[in-house]
Amino acid sequence: MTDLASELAIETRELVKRYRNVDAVNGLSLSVPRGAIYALVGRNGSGKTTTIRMLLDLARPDAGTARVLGMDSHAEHVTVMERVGFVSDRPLFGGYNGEQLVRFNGGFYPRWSDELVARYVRVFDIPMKQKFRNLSRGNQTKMWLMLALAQQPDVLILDEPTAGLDPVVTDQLLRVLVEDVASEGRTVFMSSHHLSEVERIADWVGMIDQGRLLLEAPMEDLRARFRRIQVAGVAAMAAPAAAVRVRRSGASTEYVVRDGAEEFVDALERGGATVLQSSPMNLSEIFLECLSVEGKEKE
Amino acid sequence: MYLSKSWRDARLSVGVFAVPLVLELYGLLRHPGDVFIANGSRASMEYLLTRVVSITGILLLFVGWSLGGDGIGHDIAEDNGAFLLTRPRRRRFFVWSDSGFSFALMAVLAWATIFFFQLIVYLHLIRTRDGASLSPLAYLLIPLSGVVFAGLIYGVTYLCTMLIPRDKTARVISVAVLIAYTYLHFKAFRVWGGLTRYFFPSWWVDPFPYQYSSAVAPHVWLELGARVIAIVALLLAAQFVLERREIRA
Repeated sequence: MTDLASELAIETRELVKRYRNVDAVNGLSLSVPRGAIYALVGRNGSGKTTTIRMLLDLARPDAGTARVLGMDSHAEHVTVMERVGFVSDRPLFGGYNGEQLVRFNGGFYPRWSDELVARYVRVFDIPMKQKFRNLSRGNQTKMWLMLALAQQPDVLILDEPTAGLDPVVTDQLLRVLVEDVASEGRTVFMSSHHLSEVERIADWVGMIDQGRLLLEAPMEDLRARFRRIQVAGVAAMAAPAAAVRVRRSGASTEYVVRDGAEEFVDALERGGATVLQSSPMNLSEIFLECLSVEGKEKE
Repeated sequence: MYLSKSWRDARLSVGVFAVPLVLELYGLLRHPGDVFIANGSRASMEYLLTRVVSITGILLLFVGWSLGGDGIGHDIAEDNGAFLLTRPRRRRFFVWSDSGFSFALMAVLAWATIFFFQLIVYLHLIRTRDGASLSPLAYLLIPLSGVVFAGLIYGVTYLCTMLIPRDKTARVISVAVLIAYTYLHFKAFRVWGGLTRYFFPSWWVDPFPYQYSSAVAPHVWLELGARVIAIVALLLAAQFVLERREIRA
């Protein structure tokens, strides 16, 4: 399949990765549209990094497929990596300074741009004469990102890019992702457990836990669909099928629904219940609700 | 690009190799002509030079071991694997790029040793028996045996760094393997004598074993060829391991 044939920048189907008896990734099927800022969110150890490793051919799946820009990430590794930028918190060559890293990395990429290097060195204020090992954590991440952006990738994959960064650097980094990368129609795929940051920039979200996909949807969709509905008293009405959770406490009943909130509110009111409020939920709340449902299903 | 990194990693080894030669040159320049090669002996120049080069072989051993430990296995152990292996290259590129560079460097060093020797003879810094000269084949075989020797050390060390995730452990184990094999070689020699060359061949091929003749050792090409095959096998094994290795990201 050529990249033109695929509308998806990244696609995994029934991806499985096992380490001894642990399923790090367990039947994961992701669909990342082109041009999206897609955030793969989950707890530590939920399989985010393992998924990224398989996308980058750093680990081989036990089953399933991983495709990037329509190409198999293993069989067409070289072509894929010509068009994919990667940002990690792993070290680069500690003894190299920024200029040496730029010279080293530039030779690998036909679309390498020294103008972009100059631009991001200025934007991020990266000390290019300092050895990588002597840079602060924030500057190390900026260096990774600068190197990835200068290769003009179609897809930018970031593994926990904001972990351990201060708010100023985090803001700088997110701003570049939105204003420079996504605005040019490039795809950003990032893993994170900082949900407030994800909520700020992502337009697609995949939630993963224990290697399984809990939910995948556009951010706008999530915001529109998930509602917390509070009803006075104990509503006699049965929870709708799309209810994620029902919690009854003395004076009220709280429903969390993932679909059809308006219809449910109408039905409640028609049944005589007093709906106290129907409020949207933030990503963090949605994530926690999805996790709790997953936990209950397991029990 | 990657070759410049290889050179950067190799500079120290080249320095270690060059320092004794430079010191030797310095000593000879202070007392030119005091050293007389083959004084009172009718030993062939090839025989003598092979001995000289086998001393240099200790330096080549170090270079082979050091370069073997500085390849992609070392980078992965240093946690740079996620960066390197997400560049648009097949994993085998790194193995053969490392090896190509290292063998070229070892060849340069081995031939440089011969030319260094010729230079100091030419400058009369050392004296040789009148009329003594090297046969053209010596210019090929003596450095080649040095490169093959260093190449075997390189191959063993390179494979160890690929098999063992911890860098220092890999280097120590490669030394243990080299020593263990050498020990077995000498043990086997006591039992099998000349047959040892087939079952436990030595690291080093002596191309000119005859003290009073410039004749080449029998089957020298076969012996060198067998070792070259062993080197290629070691590197293919390293490639096989690397292509299946999981890298942290």
